[in-house]
Amino acid sequence: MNAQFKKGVLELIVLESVRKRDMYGYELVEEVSKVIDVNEGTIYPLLKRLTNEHYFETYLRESKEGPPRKYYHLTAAGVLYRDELEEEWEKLQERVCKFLKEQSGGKDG
Amino acid sequence: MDRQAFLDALKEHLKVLEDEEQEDILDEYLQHIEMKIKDGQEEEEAIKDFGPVQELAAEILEAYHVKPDLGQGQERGKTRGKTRGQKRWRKLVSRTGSFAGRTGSPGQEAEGMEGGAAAGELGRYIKRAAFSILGAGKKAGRLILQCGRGIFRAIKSPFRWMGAYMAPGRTRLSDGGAAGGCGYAGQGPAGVTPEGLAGVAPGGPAGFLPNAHVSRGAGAWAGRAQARRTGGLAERAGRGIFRSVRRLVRWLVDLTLWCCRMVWNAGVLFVMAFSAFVGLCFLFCLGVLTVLLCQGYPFAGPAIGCLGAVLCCAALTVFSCTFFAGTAEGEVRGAGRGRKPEGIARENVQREIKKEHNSVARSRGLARQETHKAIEKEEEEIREKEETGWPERKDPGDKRSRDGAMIKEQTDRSSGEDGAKRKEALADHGQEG
Repeated sequence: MNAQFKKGVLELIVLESVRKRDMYGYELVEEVSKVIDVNEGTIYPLLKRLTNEHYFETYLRESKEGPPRKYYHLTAAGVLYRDELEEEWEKLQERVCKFLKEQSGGKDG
Repeated sequence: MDRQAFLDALKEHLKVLEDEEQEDILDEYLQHIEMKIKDGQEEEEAIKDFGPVQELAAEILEAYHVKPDLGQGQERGKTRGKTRGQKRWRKLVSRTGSFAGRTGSPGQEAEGMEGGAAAGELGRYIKRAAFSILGAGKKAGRLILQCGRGIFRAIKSPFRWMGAYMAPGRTRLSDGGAAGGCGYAGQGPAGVTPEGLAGVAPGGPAGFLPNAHVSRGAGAWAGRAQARRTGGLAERAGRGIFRSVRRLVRWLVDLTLWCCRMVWNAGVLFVMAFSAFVGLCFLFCLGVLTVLLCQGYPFAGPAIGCLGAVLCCAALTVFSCTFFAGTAEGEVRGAGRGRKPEGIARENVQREIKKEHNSVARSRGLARQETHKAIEKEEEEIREKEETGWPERKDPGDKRSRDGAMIKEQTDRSSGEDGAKRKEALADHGQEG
């Protein structure tokens, strides 16, 4: 898949994943990898950026398997941002599909 | 590349960030690598999945709105600086060496070349010595400065309490308060060191967690409250002493005036009593003469005279009442002190203003205390949530549609009310017309 497409949609996928339930970094990477194949190194900086912009909050939760894990939680601002992104994505998808259909219809014609 | 090398390399690129942030990021990556190894992957493979360290560091720095080449640029600048300095030194050494070589005879050129190398060695030795002397000098200077500061503090410490009392307007914040200001104009992210600020884009977001933000604000509140409590004690003590002296003087004056008033009142009372007694005597005589008059004795004149005397005495008694000294109606407090009414009124107005000011300050202080309590409550709630875990999130779509419906209901209601009001107004206007 085109890297630019993946980059554009990665944020939305991350926000949506954390919206369902709080996750830690590794878990989130696995969740996102189910949807798109992404470089793991890209996820952590994205999480950091979203945390700095107050879309995520972090907290530590004790783990039986090892050291405490850092969980990411979506804030109210994050929920609104995620909704905005979804709206924009749907609009973009609609317009691009429409444009491609028109072009293919014109070609056939 | 093993994990330690990877983390070291990453740390090198993230030097512009604060130590806490660096540790946080590295811990996360380390945890990720360990989990991948637990899942059965090789260490090298796990590290390879992150991609090149430089690119990864660049993306991380981008999250803090820091120029990716800033950390590298500092390093490059350092190395550039070193090579430039080294080059200059080498030039100087080679020139001295070649000069030493040229001044000699041709036969001595070879020796001169060797002499140049020796000169280079000598130069390096001199350079090392100079640097070590400079370093020692710096250390000595720092020691002297520290000693001087310690002596100054020791001398100043007995007078510090006086300084706090003499200058109550100065508010000294605790470390928490200073930290609450983030140490610089809050433009950049909190995770960036001051040296990294050159590469920070304006209006970057703050990178701190909610808990840290709350604890910094609470520290500032505690520091200011403490400064207010401790400051101004001497001033208050001085004011108290001045007030008590003033009160004593006023009391003495009041006492003197009261004594004078008492003496005057006693005199007036004596006159009143005397005239009342004389009046009573004349009244008795009038009674007797009236009886005799009724019996036929010719005592009309003396009886009328007695009546007149009685009336005079009564008038004198009533008249002497008006000479009593005391606070009459409509006079302000302190009239006996002999001050002008305008000055007294001004003082009372000032007193009222002061009372109001104190009550306002008290209410502000109370409001601040309440805010402080609310912040503490929030902190406790966040701590509790961290311990118990954050609750499951409801689908926000429902909330949005509910909010939208509520807003729509409200606007319909208000527009309905406005419409009704407008209709009424129009009806009234039509009637008047």
